[in-house]
Amino acid sequence: MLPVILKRLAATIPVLFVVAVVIFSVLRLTPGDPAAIVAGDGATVQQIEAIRHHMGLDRPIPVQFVTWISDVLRGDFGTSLISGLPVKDMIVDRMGPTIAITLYTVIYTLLISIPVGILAAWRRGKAIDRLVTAGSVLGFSVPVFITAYLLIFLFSMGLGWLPVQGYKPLSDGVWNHLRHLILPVASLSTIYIALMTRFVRTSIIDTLGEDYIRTAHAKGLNEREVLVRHALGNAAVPILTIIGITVTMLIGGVVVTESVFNIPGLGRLVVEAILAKDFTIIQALIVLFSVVDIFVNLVIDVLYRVVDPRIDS
Amino acid sequence: MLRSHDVLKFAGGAALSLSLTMGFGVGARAETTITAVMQAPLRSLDPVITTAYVIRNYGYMIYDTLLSVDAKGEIKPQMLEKWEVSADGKTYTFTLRDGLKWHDGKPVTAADCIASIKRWASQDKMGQVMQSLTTATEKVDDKTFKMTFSTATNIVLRALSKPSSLAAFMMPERVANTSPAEAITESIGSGPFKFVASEYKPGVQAVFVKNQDYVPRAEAPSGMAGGRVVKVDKVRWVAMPDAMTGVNALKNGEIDFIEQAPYDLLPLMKSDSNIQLIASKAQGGQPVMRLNHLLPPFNNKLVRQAAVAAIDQKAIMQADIGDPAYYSTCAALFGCGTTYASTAGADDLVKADPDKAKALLKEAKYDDTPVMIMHPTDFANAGGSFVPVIAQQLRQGGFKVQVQAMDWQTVVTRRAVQKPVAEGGWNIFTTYLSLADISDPLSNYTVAANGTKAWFGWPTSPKIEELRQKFATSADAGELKTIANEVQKLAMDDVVVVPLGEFSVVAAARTSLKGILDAPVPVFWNIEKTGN
Repeated sequence: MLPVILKRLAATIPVLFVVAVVIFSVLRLTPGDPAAIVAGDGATVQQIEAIRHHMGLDRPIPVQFVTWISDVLRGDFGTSLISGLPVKDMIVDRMGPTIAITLYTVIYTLLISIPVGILAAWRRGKAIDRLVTAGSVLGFSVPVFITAYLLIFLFSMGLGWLPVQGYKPLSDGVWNHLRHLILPVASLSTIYIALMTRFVRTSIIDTLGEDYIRTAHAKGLNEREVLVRHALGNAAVPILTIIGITVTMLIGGVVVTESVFNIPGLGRLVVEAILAKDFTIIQALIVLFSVVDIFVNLVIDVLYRVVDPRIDS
Repeated sequence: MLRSHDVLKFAGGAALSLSLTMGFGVGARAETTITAVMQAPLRSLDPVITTAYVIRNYGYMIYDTLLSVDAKGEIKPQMLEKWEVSADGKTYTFTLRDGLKWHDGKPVTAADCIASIKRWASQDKMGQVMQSLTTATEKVDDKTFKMTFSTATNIVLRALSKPSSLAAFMMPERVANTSPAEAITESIGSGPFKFVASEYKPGVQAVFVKNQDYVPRAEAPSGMAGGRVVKVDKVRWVAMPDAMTGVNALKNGEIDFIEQAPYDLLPLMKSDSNIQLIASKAQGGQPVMRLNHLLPPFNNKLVRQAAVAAIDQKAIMQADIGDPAYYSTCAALFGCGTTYASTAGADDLVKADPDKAKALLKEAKYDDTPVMIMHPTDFANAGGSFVPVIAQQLRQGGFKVQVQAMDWQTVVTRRAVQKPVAEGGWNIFTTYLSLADISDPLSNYTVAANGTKAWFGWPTSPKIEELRQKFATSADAGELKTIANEVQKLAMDDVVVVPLGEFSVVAAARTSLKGILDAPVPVFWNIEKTGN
């Protein structure tokens, strides 16, 4: 196992370098000037030039790249072009909400979708299966902001049980933390539950047709054991794949949920940075997302080998 | 069976028990915090480097100004005890009032003010004019400094008291010595609030606490002048990326104030007895259309005049604001109802006359060169909502029009490009200015007509520049009005800028907030919060 991990880690270096080159180049080629943004509406061309010079944006692009990459290699992601604060601090500050919302969404999604998917597969073609399939189509089709507004309308504005917006860290109390995340997680997970349920259902249906399932039935095992131990166990690899995809999609893709519920996470930070052309933040975040993506894939690869030792051989 | 009101009763009881246990409500006074959603999130902290309104508003929280303007437009002392003018009108002696302290506890000195004025004047358009007339700025003693000008003028009073664009905020000397091209990141002022740097999250929240050492003036607040008495412990500015969420949060009592409520969501709040809507003309704005004088076809005055004849303010403002209660047409470059309001030379500005536009284009021998309008689709008030209307009106007036959709930040970058359209230039862009920024020929930077040194669009009119210089040096109220009227006439004739109307800003607040001032800038002094 260790050689596999080391090999995969070594392969990340060229990937990250390519990501760094591409993102740096793309940002410089797209329209937008952070100096003009800092200067505001009333600035003259001369004032903008002075700010651009101070930011070092008038230097040749290769020089800017070498400076940036050598700083990154020393662990220095620079300072935000707009706020002047260290990029590292700004990212760390925004990580908590994104990690919380991602973690809870994945847990909630798995808790719902795996049993429901198994149930639908077990009752294939029956009313419950049709209901689950219809629910999945609905869950997958309704945009997350519609679900979010409906939940806010019902649970915040109507019943007054939960807050409309905001985020509280765990240090503000467990319940205070959770009550601010119930609606965001419920809205966001709707799509993932729909996706995962369908996937689990299909995977289980595939394995239920295998010879070893027939053998398990012939041995007299009960339905629960057949479904959970044999069918689900063998369907785990594709399910793990979809979990991995879900996690990587969630890390940077929660921007709509973060915006509707006013949660200051990384998704919002990247959008704000793009709109403000805050190059240093965008570069750091894209590199970070790439690292997370690679790490999640690595973990999934390792888990493949745990659930299915045949992969190693 | 547990019913919802049982649950609520239980929750209410539990909350009451908890609050009693924690000591709230029994003797201890709860901290009063105003949670406000400003028109944009705060992302940088230098009110001298940028004209962004949210940073100006931040400036008024933590900094103070030497002078300010009251509700009647009169200049009043703020940090100053007094000022004296020499008999020849060329020298002003300013004396600071007692008790002024920076947030780090050090006293405010004349040297701090001299450094602050120097940095501010290098950035601000009116400050630059003032600086060009300044022959000496000297410290007399720790509380007194003197400014001498080459001619008799009161521009120093007008410049240091103007509330917007770049307001002349005073900073400690070591901070003010920062290069004007470098944004300051420190937040040490002498104003009524202190900035809590440890709770600052750019783009998310900014927190201010009452400056206990601040000594407000004794006069009642009026406009930006008078006593800046803080009546709450803390003010929290939170960013709210989704407008609907902001309204829901206000209705739910999670926030107290929205600086600029979206016009289309006002009906949702009108019926809520816990919410007050406050329309403010003083904080309102003037949308403008800017033509690029450097490029064809708008390097031809007749074509520019044809564009003015083609547009119709009412249709544009309807698309921009929607509710006629909050907008009006206005042909005055310096704002309707202001000291220098004039409609001279603006006969074609308010109503469209497509036939006249076509006739002017014919006279100008317009060759169907397409005019490219930048359309900031993500910024409604800057043109997102009304650029398509302008485009259609121009087409009806005989123009060939090409609309390019882009985000506002791309507009901000591209409008600085002086090259042809094919090389990244432009013909028309739109934006809006706060009415506080446009009230006279000096503070209204859109009328500057000094070519490539002027604001984007780069009009050239030596006569307008001459009049602006005269406006800077004159101190006679009648003469100032005459000059402003003449500038309006020339600017309209040369189509230096095209005002598109006026709108009021509507703030939404919980009724628990009392004493919200109608000033040109949203300020948080004088506001009390009672209950929720």
